[in-house]
Amino acid sequence: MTQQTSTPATPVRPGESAYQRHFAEVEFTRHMHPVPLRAALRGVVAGLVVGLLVGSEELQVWSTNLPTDYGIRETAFAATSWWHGTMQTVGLADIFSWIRNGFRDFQYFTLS
Amino acid sequence: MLFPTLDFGVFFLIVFFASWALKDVNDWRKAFLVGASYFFYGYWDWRFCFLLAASSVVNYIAGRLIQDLPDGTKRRWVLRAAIVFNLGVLGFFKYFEFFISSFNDMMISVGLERELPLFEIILPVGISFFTFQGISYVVDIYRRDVRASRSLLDVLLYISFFPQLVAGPIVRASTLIPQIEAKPEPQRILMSMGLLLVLLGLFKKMVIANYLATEMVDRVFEDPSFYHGADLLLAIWGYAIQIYCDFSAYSDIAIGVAAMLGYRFQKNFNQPYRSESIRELWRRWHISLSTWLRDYLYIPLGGNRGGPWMGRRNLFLTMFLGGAWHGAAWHFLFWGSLHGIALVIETIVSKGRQLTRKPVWARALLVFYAFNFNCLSFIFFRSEDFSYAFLYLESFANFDLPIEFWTPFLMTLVFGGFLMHFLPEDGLERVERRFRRLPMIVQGALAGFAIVAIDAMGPDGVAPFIYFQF
Repeated sequence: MTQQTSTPATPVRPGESAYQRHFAEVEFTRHMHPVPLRAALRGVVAGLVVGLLVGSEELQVWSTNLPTDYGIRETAFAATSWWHGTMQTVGLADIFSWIRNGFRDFQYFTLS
Repeated sequence: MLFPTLDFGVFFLIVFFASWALKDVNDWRKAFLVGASYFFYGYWDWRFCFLLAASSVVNYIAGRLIQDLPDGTKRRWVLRAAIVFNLGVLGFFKYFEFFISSFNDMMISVGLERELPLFEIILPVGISFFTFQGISYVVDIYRRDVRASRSLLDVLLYISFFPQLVAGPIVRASTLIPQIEAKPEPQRILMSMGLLLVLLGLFKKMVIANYLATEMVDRVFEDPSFYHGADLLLAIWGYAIQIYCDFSAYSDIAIGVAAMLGYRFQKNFNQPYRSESIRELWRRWHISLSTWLRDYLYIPLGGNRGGPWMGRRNLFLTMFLGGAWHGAAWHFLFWGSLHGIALVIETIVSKGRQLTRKPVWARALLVFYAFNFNCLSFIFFRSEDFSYAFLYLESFANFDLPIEFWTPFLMTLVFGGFLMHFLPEDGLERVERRFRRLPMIVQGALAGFAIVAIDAMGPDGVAPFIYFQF
């Protein structure tokens, strides 16, 4: 039986030919640099820490929308409020406001 | 669950750590990812998880049968049944109400007022995308481009993998299943690229697309007659940038998230507005859909095998059906038809010639044509119906109203969004080469800071992605 194929038939080797053939059409990650898991984990943890330090305000807002079951929201809100308060004392919470206000100034900037 | 939310951030962190913790037991890892994907999907409406599972099981069984049956006719019948099933599900949820209401309107117009009952059918998010993946799976097996998976788990994960589940990219079985079958490679995680794509996607969605929508486009399309013609021009250009930033953002985040979990997807957008023709635009816009339509619709229709006019007919039909894919409404069909007509005219005018070296002014003119033709078609795409689209076109003649939207902020978003299409095509790769020189801990810290900064810049609230509705 003849097969109707959109591209020249190639032998099927999972992980190789058919896969690579279509993948090659718009593959753009080939030359990019992979890292081992250990390094990737370090990166994610670093991102998480920085996010918690400067994004405490959003964290507090987020906790207010958590489900009310089993007191999850109350506990989370108390924890995030304490954290946000600490970050305000340290001054790191202000970074979020600076960026927001700076961008708002640009948003409402007019030439007249 | 929406990507640019803290809910998703928490979800992703759990999935990232847990899935890599299970790297040595691939079946457990896959089962975990299936569970996470169903949670991701069920977060919106858990009832449709059953539909997703049914689609996966049917395609899995059909795939096994197509591969194992030796007889060509039986294989073809199984393939047809699987395609009918997939399209039947899609058709029911997406087009049933449209056909019933159109039929009712027709009956009333000929004096037979016998209204058929309308059901309030909820459209499952992402149904088009997972249906297309199901079709691609059985057709690829039929064409012997890929082997039917022995494991139901692999097919469940292929159809439901959460990064691309609700708005693409449409990943082929031949791309993803071999990656699912293989053991994950913890030594080869594309972390720098993944982080950059997520950041780029968040910026495009939360800053550019959301501001353009809330500050200008949604207001203008609510009633175009209230605005000056110049504002309408900026708004339709703005919509072109908004839909690009919205849709490509989803793809960027999906590709980035998948990369961090050890899976590689292809590029779905490639600076579409630098195109010099509508034909080129479709090679750069939603690449996974346009190549899907090419391989599973245009070529089975006959492609250009029956001569140039058959090729043009098939091209038009493909775009017409591409319009229908976007929604059960006449204005989507008209949008698809407009693109079909443009493609046909371009093939007639060019007659297959490709000028490789054009002067700059000629290229600029062609870019101007392609972008503005696309914008014109977007008026029909974005309007609720034809009357709104024509009202928009008529309102271009409004010159006696004050100009409202040509502010530095909105102009920066619109023209900046357009000009970024003319950055080097390998711009992301160049940035990745520099970014990866930094220690991973610094990359992660910068990404964490950038996410907070983008969140601070964006408007309040989270708008859903435009392509969720398709």
